[in-house]
Amino acid sequence: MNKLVMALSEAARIWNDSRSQPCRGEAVQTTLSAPNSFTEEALGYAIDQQMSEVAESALTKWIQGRVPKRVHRVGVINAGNVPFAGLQDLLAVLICGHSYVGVLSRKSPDLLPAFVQTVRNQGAEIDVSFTDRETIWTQIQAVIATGSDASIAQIRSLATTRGLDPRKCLLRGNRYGIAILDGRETDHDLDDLAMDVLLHEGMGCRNVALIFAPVGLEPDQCLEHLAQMRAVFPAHPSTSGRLKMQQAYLTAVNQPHAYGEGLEFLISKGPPEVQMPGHVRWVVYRDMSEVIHLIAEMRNKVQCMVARGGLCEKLPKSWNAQPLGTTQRPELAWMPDGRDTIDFLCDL
Amino acid sequence: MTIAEIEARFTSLNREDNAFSVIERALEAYQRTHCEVYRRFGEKYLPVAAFKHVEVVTFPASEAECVFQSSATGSGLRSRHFVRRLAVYEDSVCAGFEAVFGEGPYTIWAHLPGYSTESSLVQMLKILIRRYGDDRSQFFLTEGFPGDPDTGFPLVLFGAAFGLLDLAEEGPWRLPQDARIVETGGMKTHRREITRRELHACLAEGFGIQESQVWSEYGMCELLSQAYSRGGPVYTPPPWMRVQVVDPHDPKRVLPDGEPGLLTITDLANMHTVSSLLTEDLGVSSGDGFEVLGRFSGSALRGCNFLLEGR
Repeated sequence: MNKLVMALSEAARIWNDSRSQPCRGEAVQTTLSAPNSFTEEALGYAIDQQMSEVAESALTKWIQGRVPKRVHRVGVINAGNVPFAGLQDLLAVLICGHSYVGVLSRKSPDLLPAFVQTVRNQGAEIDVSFTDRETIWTQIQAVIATGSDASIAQIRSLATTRGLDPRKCLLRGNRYGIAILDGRETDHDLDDLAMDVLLHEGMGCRNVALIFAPVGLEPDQCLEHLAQMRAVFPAHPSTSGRLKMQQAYLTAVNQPHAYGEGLEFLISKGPPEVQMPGHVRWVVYRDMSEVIHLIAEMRNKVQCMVARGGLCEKLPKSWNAQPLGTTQRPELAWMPDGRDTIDFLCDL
Repeated sequence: MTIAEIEARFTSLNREDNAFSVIERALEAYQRTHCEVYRRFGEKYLPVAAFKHVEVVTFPASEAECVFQSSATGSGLRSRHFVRRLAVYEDSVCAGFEAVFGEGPYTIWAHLPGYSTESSLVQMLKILIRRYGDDRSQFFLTEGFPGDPDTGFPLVLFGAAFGLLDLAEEGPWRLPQDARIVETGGMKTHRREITRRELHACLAEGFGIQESQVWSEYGMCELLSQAYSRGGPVYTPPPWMRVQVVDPHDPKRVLPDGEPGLLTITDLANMHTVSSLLTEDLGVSSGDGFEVLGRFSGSALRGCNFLLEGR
């Protein structure tokens, strides 16, 4: 175990040491040419952030001495909507001592294999292989997958057909993030909010899709910070195309909205309905009881909630609200859908 | 071509007829002129969500003969489809039904628990029962069947997916082997989402018929036409309805057969509202038809979705 943890943290250190490391550089180049909406700036940021989490102390703290009942071949069907979306599952399977059989997204086919190779280069003997979505079912004894309700229904059906015990399937639905404002946000808070909304073009299950704002608070200041964020993280060329029809629609139905130069982002006022990536909905509330009521209705679809530090303390503890700017910087031990992946893997 | 001429001939189009494109263009020009929402929109395929937020009409809404309403969504909003002439809807419903089922007569049972009388599906079944049903045809909400299914005419049991599942579980039933079940969607209500294949297998087993006798209907409040599948996953639209699959990230890009994306529908029967709509359904083209893979929302596009990775 110690040898594996050291190899993982050393591989992460190598990747984090310099963006020009050959193992990382080649994977980045091929990833940018894959059919995704990654930009060089956002991809670099994501790799730096994820690798900084893979430290010996963090890995040891995460596993907390837990050991699996027995070793399994665990299949992981990886998402590819944000860079390194499947890294946490890969690490979890490995530090639990299981074998890993991954299906890669065609949107991001190179990052995980390249990182695995770097881990192997550190002398770690890890049982990792990659396969396709058809043949994986003959090779695995447990599965982890994330997707929309419809795609999860399909995965559940396939798992049942293949005789996989439902207790050996960790299936996660698609989710989104929520930001709650009270009008006392600083410029720094709003910079962080802009990252929560726009990084990775609004993709990812933690991305902020709805901003709850008190009556009287207008989004003007927020717009400035969204535009400033775009100066550092330029939009992918596909974003403006995706938002063009949305903007035309908002105009057609007379829904109040604003957008960045070149349609690099879109913000609209209205009911709490999740819009396309890059389009954030500004939801006005009268008082906190209304927010509590609205969030209660959508709670099972919300992956995370963020607010400024002082406000987090006033929100219901069960929401586990985190500071603004943390949605795309999850800790290694974060629990998608509130379920601990290590617990799942140890109970197999 | 005038709207009156289109009303008179749209159901007599055939699939090879290039009149579809002629009518489509004529309607687009007409709807851009007379529908303020569509004029402001400027793009071709109007998102169906528009029916929730505004009056999508080419005529004064007060002159509508009927207003179809969908069930409420999470935000409490309901789509409203202002139907200028019910005769157009009836023509579309009947021509679509006859092309698939023939002229009947049938015993038509409709099991739609929880559906309001403003639902387009309820209206459609009222028309079908009146035009093609025998005197035992009816709506029913009871536990169990409303009578002996062996009526002397072939039975067609229409129902929302989960209502039919509940009914099947009250069985086992044994319907006549020439009976057909037509599920009308609604894959997700009070239970977990299941695949269409699982649904059809459960219904076939629960009602004691071959799986090939479980058919599907695809329709929605915002459309005046329907597509049917005959015992498989592929829906065939009528000749006056064209379905294309587009890239959710770039709705102007039409995707080839087999590549999953958002369904767009041009329904010539929607002549008095807007004919070309962008749905919230994920699907794939398949020859002259299409498959529906599931609902597609903004959150589905944000999160990861294997169904969009291709098959």
